[in-house]
Amino acid sequence: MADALMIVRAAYFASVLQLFGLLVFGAVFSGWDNALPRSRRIWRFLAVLVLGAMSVRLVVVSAAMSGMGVGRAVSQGTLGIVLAETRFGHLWLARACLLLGVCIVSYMGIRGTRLVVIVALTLVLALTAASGHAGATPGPGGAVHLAADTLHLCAAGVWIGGLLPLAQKLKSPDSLEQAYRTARRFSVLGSLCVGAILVSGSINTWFLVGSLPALVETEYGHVLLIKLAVFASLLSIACLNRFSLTPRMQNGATQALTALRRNVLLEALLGLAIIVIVGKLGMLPPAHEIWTVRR
Amino acid sequence: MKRAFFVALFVACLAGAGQAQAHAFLVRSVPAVGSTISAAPAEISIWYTEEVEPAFSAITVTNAAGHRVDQGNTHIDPANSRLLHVSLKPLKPGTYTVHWYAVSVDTHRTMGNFTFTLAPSGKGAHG
Repeated sequence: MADALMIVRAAYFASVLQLFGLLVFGAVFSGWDNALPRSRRIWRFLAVLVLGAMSVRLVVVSAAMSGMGVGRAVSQGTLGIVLAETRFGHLWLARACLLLGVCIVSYMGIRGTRLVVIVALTLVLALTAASGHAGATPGPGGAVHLAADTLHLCAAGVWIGGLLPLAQKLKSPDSLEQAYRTARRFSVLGSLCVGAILVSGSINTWFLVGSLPALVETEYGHVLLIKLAVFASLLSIACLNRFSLTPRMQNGATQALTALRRNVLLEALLGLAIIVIVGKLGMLPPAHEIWTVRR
Repeated sequence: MKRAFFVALFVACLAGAGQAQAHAFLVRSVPAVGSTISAAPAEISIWYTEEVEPAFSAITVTNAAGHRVDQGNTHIDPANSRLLHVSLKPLKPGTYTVHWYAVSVDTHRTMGNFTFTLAPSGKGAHG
């Protein structure tokens, strides 16, 4: 059951962050005007994927909450109880409504669609944060933790979710100069995201880990260290792209464009690895909690 | 040097934390875990580390023979969603086992059990 929960969590995060990143990437590179029908079809496809992952997660989480198998949980009406009587269920319904709204709005293609969809997805990410530990942090710190976790998800979505659209845009640019401008603009966006991830990650760690012993002596801390190692690798490649390959493109080195595109795809792969680790982290009690109980 | 390394490691880790989900662990109970008491309690109260979902949380109490002595009415405290109560039938001296399971508001299920002893009249209580 734990493995299934981890996989569906990772699938949910991968699809929702990809959708968010794609939308923001489009806004940055194509403007706020209405997207082409093809783009809107991709949005709808991803929104349906997110809804699918959410639905599977609802079933698996309901089974885990009730302590029953999936079959019994479904047949005995546990899903209804979860949706009607638990915070997770209420937040699930709110997210599902927003995603259905995304599907409808993107189908209609009315003016301002992209902005409306980005706002809706930001709310979905905030509700996702509220479904996790950030939503369970008591007192005034709870609002700070929730805001930090929402920012963390948004920044990760813009950066990681923007990588595949970037690779696609670099695939067949009109000129090397255009590819250079695209890479430069994305690196500015990426730098802002890294800053936001550092700040929000610091706040999250304060709430979830809280001390060095809790970091090094709990399973949560160990998994977090693995996530950090992958994050450091991702950041190293991003720095290589920003400070070495992009300037070489300005000097007319076409092979730098090929290397850049390969690195962007590698970054996307590492981003996926981080998302899988986040799936695992979500299954573990936070380090500070274990540390408090042990003491 | 070693301290500087760990401080640097911790600062670096600040970047890495993401979403995690909490688990409701027992903080304390009345009667206390493993305690011996002299007066029969009317209810069991358990405080948890996180808010719990009443629909998926419960406390049951059994005597030494394994028979239920709780009223089957586990309910959340109206003023504190980290606190669960269950009423008890009148208890006789003896050792009782409290079984609990709880689902935190972020969906994780935990469970456990502990005992307490009701001493015969006139015997001192501790714990």
